[in-house]
Amino acid sequence: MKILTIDDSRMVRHMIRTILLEQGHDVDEAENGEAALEKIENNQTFDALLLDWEMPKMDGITFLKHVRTNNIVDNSKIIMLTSLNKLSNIQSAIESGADEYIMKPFTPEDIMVKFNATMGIN
Amino acid sequence: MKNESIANRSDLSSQNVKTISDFIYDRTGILLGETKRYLIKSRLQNIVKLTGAASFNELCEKVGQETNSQLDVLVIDALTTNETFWFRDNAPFFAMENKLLPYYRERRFDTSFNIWCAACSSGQEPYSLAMLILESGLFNTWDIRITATDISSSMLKKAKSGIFNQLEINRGMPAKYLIKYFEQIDDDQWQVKSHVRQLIQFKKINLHELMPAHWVYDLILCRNVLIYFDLESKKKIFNKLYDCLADDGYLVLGGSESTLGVCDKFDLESIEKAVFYKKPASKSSVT
Repeated sequence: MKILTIDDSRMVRHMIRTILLEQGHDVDEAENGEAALEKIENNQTFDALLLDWEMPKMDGITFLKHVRTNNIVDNSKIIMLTSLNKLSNIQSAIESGADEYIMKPFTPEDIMVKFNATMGIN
Repeated sequence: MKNESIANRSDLSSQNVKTISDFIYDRTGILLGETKRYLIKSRLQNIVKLTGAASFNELCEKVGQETNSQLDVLVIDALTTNETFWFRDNAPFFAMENKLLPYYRERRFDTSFNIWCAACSSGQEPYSLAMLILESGLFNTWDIRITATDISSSMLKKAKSGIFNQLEINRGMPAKYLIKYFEQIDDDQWQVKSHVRQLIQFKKINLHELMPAHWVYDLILCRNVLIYFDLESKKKIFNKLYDCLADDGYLVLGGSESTLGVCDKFDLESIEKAVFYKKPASKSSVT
């Protein structure tokens, strides 16, 4: 599968890349919502986006609302991956079109379990 | 001198690995042994600290010496508990959601649904199942009873509280269920809502001992626990589970576990991508 990790932390992007590459997935990176949008507008398609919330230029929730409202990545699953851990944050993300939500800090297993469940991989 | 004492404290002799393994086997039927040396050491580390024992070996020599000792309870507790995930292994939960729950809804002649989660650890499995059942909407007017058992008192206490920290929640709890079935207590803690908790009764049960004679369940989950038992113990436990299962009821095991070659009473059924073990009573089946 082709995955886009969108996070302003180089370390988080590296971790996600490493975890998903080990499972045989193809992983691309973007450092904020704006950079991710550029890739999508350049006709790059992704099966899943792992999306941070707090990022410069365009944050995760703005990106999420934009792509879901404009039906830009209808065929992509979006998993929020953020240190915001309030119930209201989770509700807001799911209502805005996120398919899943993972709170930071996370373990590789947390990523794999939720990623696989979201993508229907056993 | 100081270095020597640290070395002694961290050492665990082969004889004492055997002593502990024999003790655990005798009391619980769970098989440890030299291959589980790392697990024994890491799990007993806190007890060495807690009891002020000078070394692992000193601790091990005291185990099993008195009836019902506090130390024995701590050691059994530490060596028989396992971390669990929500909806651990997706396949059996997908199969239950899509096939097994509708099967029970159709087949039951009364409106009760009795489930036993054996070895429930800190409760993720029975809560996952309770949420799955509620979410299905198939049993809204039914009497749902989930009995969740474990050998560990501390795990049962935690499970009963329904309180989980963020790290535990992250381990597989789907966001839509988190929103619907949990309350956030503080920045790090979440509690399962009371209407979900009320579906589950927690009880201390040792699978190695006799089960209550009146237990009859429509569905039994006994997952990722029999891997710790030897063949003879597995046979005994499978027979007990069989006896506790209603006719046409299903047993669910862990992905790496099977009744094959151990107990031939069950019919194996592949349902979607999971394997279930049926107590045969008629020709009906899910597939």
